[in-house]
Amino acid sequence: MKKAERLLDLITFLLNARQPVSFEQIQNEFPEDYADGSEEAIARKFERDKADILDAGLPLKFVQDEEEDLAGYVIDRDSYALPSISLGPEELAVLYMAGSAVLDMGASPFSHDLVMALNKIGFAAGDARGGSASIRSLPANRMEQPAALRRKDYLESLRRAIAGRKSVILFYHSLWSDDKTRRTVDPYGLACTRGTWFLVGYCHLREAIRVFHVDRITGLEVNRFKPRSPDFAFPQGFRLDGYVSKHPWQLKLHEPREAVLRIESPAAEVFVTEAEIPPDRVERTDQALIVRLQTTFLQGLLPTILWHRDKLQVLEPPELVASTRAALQRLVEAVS
Amino acid sequence: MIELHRRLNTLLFLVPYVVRHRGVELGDLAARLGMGEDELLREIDFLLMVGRPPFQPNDFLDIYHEGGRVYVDLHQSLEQPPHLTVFEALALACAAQLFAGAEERGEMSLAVRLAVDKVVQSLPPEAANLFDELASHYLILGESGTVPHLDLLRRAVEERREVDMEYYTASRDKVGQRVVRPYGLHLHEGAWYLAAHCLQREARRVFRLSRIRSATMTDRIFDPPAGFDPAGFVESSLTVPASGSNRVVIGFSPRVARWISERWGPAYLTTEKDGSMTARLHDVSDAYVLAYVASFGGEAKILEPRELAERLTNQARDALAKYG
Repeated sequence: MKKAERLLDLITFLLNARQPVSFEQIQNEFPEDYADGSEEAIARKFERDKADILDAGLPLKFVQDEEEDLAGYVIDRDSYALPSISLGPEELAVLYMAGSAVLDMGASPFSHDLVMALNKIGFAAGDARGGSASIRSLPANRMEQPAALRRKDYLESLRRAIAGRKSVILFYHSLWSDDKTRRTVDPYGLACTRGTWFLVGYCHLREAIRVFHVDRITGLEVNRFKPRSPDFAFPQGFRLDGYVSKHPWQLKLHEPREAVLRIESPAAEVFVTEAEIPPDRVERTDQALIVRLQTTFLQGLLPTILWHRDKLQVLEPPELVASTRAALQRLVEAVS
Repeated sequence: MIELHRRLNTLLFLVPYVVRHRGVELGDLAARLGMGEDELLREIDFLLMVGRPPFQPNDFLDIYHEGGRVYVDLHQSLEQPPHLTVFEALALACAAQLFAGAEERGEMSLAVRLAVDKVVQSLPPEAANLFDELASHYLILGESGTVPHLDLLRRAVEERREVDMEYYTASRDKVGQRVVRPYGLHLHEGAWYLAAHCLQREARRVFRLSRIRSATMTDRIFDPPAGFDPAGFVESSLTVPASGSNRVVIGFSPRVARWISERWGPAYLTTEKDGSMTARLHDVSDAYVLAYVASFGGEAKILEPRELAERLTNQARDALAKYG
C-alpha cells in the first residue's frame, strides 16, 4: 500500500524536523510523491494526505511565526506522544477486565480501537511487566462466523457515521413484518443490552426516532457525499437510555407505574439482584420478598412473572393481575 | 479509509512497543495487536520500507524478526506511541460502562470511573471536547447488581485463592454451600459468569454471578490448569446441545416463529406447514424448559416429553389458584 508508506514517511519526517517544514521543502524531500503531475493535482494529493493524518488522530499543524520568518507544518512531539497516565494497578486491572469482556463479546463498535486503547494504557503505565495476570494478555481472536463478521462491520460503520453525523441507508427486516424496507436513518447512538446491539436514530421513512436491532439490518450504506461535513445534528438533550433499557418493563413507553410482586425465597433474592431493585423497594416477610418495581411498560413484566410463575404473585396493579391470570389460563389450555 | 487509519495507528504503536520490548515473541506481539502472525510478518516487511529523507540506508526503520522474536535497531524517532485517539478513549469508556451505575456497590465501579477520567485527561484538548460530545452516544448496559461479587472474584482469580460461597441452583430452587477454585470471568449476553473448579462436584462448573448469595475469599492458594480458556468453557457450557440424549420438543406459534429462529438457529428448528416452529433441545434442565416455555404465555408449548407438559399445566393451575 503506497499511501500508508508515504504517510508514515511523512509522519517520521515531521516528527524529526527541528522546525516547521514548508510544503516546498516537503516536495523537495519527497520528489517521487509530490512532484509528478499538475500543481493542482499535487496540492490536492497533499491536502488528502494531511486530512488522513489528522483523521488518524495525529496532531499535524500549520504554524506561522512572522518574527522568525518561519511557516510550515509540524507534528509537535510532545503533543504527539502518549503521555504517562498515572493509572494504579487496580485501575489498570479493571479497565483490562472491562475491555476484555467487551472484546470477548465478539462484536462491538470499537473492537480494534479497544485493542489499541488497552495496549496504549498498558504502555503508558509502563507495561507493569510481570504484574497483574489480567493485563498481560488480551482475549484470543475467536473464529468468527459470517453473521458475527457482518455485525462487526455494521457496528463499526455505524459508530463512524454517528461520530461524523452522516446519514445511512438501512435495509431492514423488522421482526413483526415480513417486509424488508429500505430507509434513510440519521444515526444517533448505539446501545448494547443483554449482549444485543441496537441502533437508535431518526428514521426518515417513519418520520420518528426508531430503535433498530443491528442483527436485523440486512444492508448498510453510509452517505459518501461530503464525508467531512455532517448531514444532521443530534437533537437537544438526546439520551440513549430513553430508548433502550436493561429490562423490558423499563422501556419508556408509558407514564411510570408501580408494580408490587411477592416472590418466594430463595428465587426472590436472585430476582432482586438481576432486576437491580434498590434495597428500599424490597420488604422481607416470612419466606418471601415483597418487591415494589418502577415500570414504564407494565406488560413488559409478564414474561418474567411467568418465568417465576409458581414462586411469584402479582399484588398490584389490578390490570397486571388480570393479564397474568389470562396468560396462566392460556398456559393451562395450551397443553390440554 | 478506515483500514488506512487503523493501520497507521497499529504501526505507530508497533514500533515503540518493540523498542521497549526488544525481542518480543512474534506470537505474543501478533496477539497483542489483534492480528495473525502472517499479517504481522507482512507488516514488518512493509515497515522496512518506511524511512525519512534523505533515505540513506540509516534513514530506514530497521525492524526484523529472528528465531521467532522481533527487534528494532533504528527506530527513526518512533520510540513513543501516539496518544489515544478519541475512538480509543470512547472504546474504553464504553467498556467501562459495564461496571457503571453501581457506585455505592463496589470499589470497582469507582476505580473504573477514575481510570476513564484519567484517560480522558490524557487526550489533547480538541479530542477531549469531541469525547465529551460523543460519549453519551455509545452505551453498554451492564449488570450492576453483580458488581460486588465481580470485584471479589476478579481478585480471587488473580491471586489464585479459593472462594467459599453460597450459591442458588435454579434447577433445584435451593441455596447450597460451595467451595470453588475460580479460573476466570466471562460476560455472556449481558450476564457475568464464573468458570471454576467446584470442590463439591469435583468438576469444572459455570456459576452465574447473580445467583451467588455470598462469597468469601479464603487463604487457600491453588494452581490454575495450564491452557484453560475460561471464556470458551463458559460459552460451550451455556450452549444447548442440538443433539444428544434427553430430548425436549417445544412448539412455537407462528406469531413468535421469526423471533425464535433468531434465538435458536437452524440446527434446532423445523418450520411446520402452518408457519409454527418446532425446536428440539437436548440435555436441558426441566426447570429451564418449564420457565422458558411458560414465559411465552401460551405462544409456546412442550410437545415432548408428555410428563413435562403436564407439570407445566399443573404449575400454571397452582399459580392461577393464588389469584382466587
